[in-house]
Amino acid sequence: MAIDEQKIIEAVSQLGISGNEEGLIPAFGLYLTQHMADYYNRISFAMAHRLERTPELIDDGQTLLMEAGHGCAFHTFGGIMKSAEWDAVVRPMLQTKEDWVYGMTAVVNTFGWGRWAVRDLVPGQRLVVTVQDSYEAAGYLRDYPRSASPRCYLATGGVAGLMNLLYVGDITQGPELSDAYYKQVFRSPSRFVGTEVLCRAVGDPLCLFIAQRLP
Amino acid sequence: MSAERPDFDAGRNLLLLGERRIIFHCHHYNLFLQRSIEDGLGPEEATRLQVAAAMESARPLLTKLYAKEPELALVDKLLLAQRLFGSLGFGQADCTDLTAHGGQIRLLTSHYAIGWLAKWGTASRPVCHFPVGFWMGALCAAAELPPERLQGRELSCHAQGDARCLLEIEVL
Repeated sequence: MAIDEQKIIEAVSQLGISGNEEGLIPAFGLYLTQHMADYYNRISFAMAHRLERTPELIDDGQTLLMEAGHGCAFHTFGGIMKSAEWDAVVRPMLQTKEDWVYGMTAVVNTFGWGRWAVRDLVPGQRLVVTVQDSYEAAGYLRDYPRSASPRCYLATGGVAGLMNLLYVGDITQGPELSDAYYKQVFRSPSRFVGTEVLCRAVGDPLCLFIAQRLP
Repeated sequence: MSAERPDFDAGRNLLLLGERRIIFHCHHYNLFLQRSIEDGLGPEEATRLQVAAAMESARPLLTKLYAKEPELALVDKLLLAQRLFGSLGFGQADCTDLTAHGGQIRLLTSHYAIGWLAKWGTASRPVCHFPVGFWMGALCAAAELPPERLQGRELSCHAQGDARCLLEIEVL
């Protein structure tokens, strides 16, 4: 494995990403924010709880929130993997398509989302990721009783989205990240779906995600 | 490290500011999530939730930052909030009209309005719910007001075609 995660973390975290004179953070073809985890958690969990009051809407809440995670992966991960910063810092380490998974995971480890680690990667078939200190699970545990179901919606969508970008689409070829390409990749019958198998919000010691192709 | 910049714990991938976790997200996620909350709850309840959540998030964070500089006057505390708002990427705010009795905040740029326009075009309703709640939290912490006394709204929004976003905070 050619990926030097510490080198990537040091390089990205030292970019000094912060608002410009207009109070905006244009980077990687996106507008970024350094946002408050408490905000995301409150609006996400409040909506999920409200929909969970109606049994037939439970899945709708999860689906909406995980779809937001898919969009995050597509635009944020995709934008980063097409960026000049990626080319400068990460691309020199890349030898295989699988290296792109490890390289992107290293970049995620500068976002404040908690510590992501690839536990298992079967090329084109399966990705297993663990997350320590997930902001979603940590926020849930702080504010609510132990959950009966996993709560890391963004990360679940993100893990699946990373595999979709690489093995359903092909981000290594630098495609335009258009709505049409999103639909092509994330509505494909062979797309990846994410499952949170372990979650701190339900009492597990860490959060663990599996992305596999739709059966 | 400036008072308005998060500290990075590289070993655990935690960004902390005012003892609160800070995370990177882009306009696609922020606006998609906002729209998802509206889909799930309806626009009126979603607006109330997002304003309340922003106030709940910003108030303790800014209380911690203000406490580091207890000599600051109200106007200086609000200017600190203005710098923080910009450094975190939410936009360029002008809060010079804001007092302990309320007032207006002009957003010369707004992440949420610009992001909405870029992603979906002209909005049918104001979209800067987070900024409304942020500034309610900032004033609440700076003037040490009970949060129940504050009400906020967006009077005009760039995402709807207005030149600037204009927020109003009323102190009851």
